[in-house]
Amino acid sequence: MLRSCLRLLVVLLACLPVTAQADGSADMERGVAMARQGQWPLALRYFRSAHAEMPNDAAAMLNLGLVHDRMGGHEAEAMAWFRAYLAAAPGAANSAKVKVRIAELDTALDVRIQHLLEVARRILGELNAPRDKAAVLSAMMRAHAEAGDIPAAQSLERMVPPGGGKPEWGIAAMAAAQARRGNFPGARAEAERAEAEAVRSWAMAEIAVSQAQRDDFTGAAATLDAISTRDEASYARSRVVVLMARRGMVGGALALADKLDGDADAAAKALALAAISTAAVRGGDAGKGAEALAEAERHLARAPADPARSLAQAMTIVARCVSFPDTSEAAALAELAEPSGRARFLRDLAAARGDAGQAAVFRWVAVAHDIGGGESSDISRLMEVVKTETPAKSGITVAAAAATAAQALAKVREAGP
Amino acid sequence: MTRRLSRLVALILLLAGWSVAGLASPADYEWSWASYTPSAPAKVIQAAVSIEMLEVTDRRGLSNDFFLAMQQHVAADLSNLFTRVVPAGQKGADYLIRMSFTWDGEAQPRAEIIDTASGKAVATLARPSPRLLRAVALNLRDAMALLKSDIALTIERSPPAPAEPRPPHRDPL
Repeated sequence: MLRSCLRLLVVLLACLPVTAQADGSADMERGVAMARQGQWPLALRYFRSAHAEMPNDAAAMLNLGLVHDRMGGHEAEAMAWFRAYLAAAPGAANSAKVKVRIAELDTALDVRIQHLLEVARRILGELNAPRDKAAVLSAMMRAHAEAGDIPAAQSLERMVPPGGGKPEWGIAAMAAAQARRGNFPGARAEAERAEAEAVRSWAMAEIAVSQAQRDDFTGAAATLDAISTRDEASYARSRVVVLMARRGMVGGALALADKLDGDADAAAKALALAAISTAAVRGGDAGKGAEALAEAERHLARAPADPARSLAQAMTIVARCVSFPDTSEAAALAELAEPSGRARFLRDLAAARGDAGQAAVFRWVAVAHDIGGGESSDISRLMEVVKTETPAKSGITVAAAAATAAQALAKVREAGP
Repeated sequence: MTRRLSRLVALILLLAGWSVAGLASPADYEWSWASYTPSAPAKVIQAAVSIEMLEVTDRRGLSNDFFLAMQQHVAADLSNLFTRVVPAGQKGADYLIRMSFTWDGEAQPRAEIIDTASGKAVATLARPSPRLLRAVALNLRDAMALLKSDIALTIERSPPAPAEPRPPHRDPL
């Protein structure tokens, strides 16, 4: 297995360009030199820089996939970058080999998740305190729920000892998994079992967004009313508004966006209004689009710098490009410093312009960046971390890593064939 | 659990004392602060604590030196109670007391006690009740019973905190 991976890597590295176009060529060359010496973190830095300079360059995407592949514990990111490469260069000579490698990585990550859960189960056997056992079981339930295996999560819940308390996040994750399958009544009933307000609201937010993704906007509105914490309500309401707007339901989206508190959460309000602006312009109502855009930019100016603002900014600039088609894409990109925001901007702009091919490329780039925020699931690195922790914390850390990896794998699988 | 609760009670007691000064009007501020007598608990808690002063809005003419002095005063008081007071910004504290002080027509003192291991607030003091403040000002010992009831209320109001971190959403955007 290892030998075949190395052979593929050699083949793929041989395909790397030694010269490239545009301003990122020097970084590409440095990245290739580092990769040939096995200096993966340095190679990653240079390839990221090259990709930032040349966002459409397929070779930079391939190289990012290769580096993540070789670093270990980053299979999902590697798969997403390889997918981006295939979308950007569908006729590439090495596309068959890359597809094989994606399939291998998918299997490897699935196996790793099972290994992590096995380690968590062994740690569980060493714990005595009911609360510790419940916490580890809850994290393990999350991993199964993220993988869509609800029966496995339910069987773990039955192992929670008396006095351990409810496995709150595990229950919330099961509710979210039910919602992703479209079983909304079951998901709501599951979420109601969570006692902690923050956990219940998290689960309700997941359910409302899943309902909106399946065009059940009436159900989503009812679920939004069941969310009792401000952060979760802002998150869910803004996403439901965006999904409504993308369906062209501008009036309904505006009514729902009115309930967003722009003073308390300016980024969520800006995000919602930007999506409404784009939808209004595409629907032929330039006046309403301009009005929503002006309001989105006003809220954006007040939003604190964080990932939520970065996303809202990307969508606001998309709305600006749609309202004013002569806006320079390079100038718009220059406003976006954060890679994930840049990818989402390019994805949504391509979609708004009807360029399905480009939208697919940047959908994968956005997935890669999204997954990149998670921790590595590399077992040897995790073992180093857990050595310094108590058994209970170790169990939670390992099971949570399994849940993160399962979520990343699910994101890649759900993002497209 | 009892030991943690007693640490918490002691911490809140001290912070309530700090709040006595906080609720005074700006004109009376120096006087109120000067009249505040640091508590002198008999038992030293085997834990280290650090304090951090957050943004102070609308200082109403009070100088930076004043706020620095207030911070040092609280730190000196805490050193009577805890085995170690860790300078702000340095690692090694078991608890972090994050204080903020704002003006919104009247003084709005607020303090959070953060367990540095979990990074979570274990208690919050926001505008303690006048009866509590009076009790603290008059007799620290009598305040203990009131504080205990306040803590019980806080615990009851707060949802059980799960040991796991909050997972990220499966954001469709």
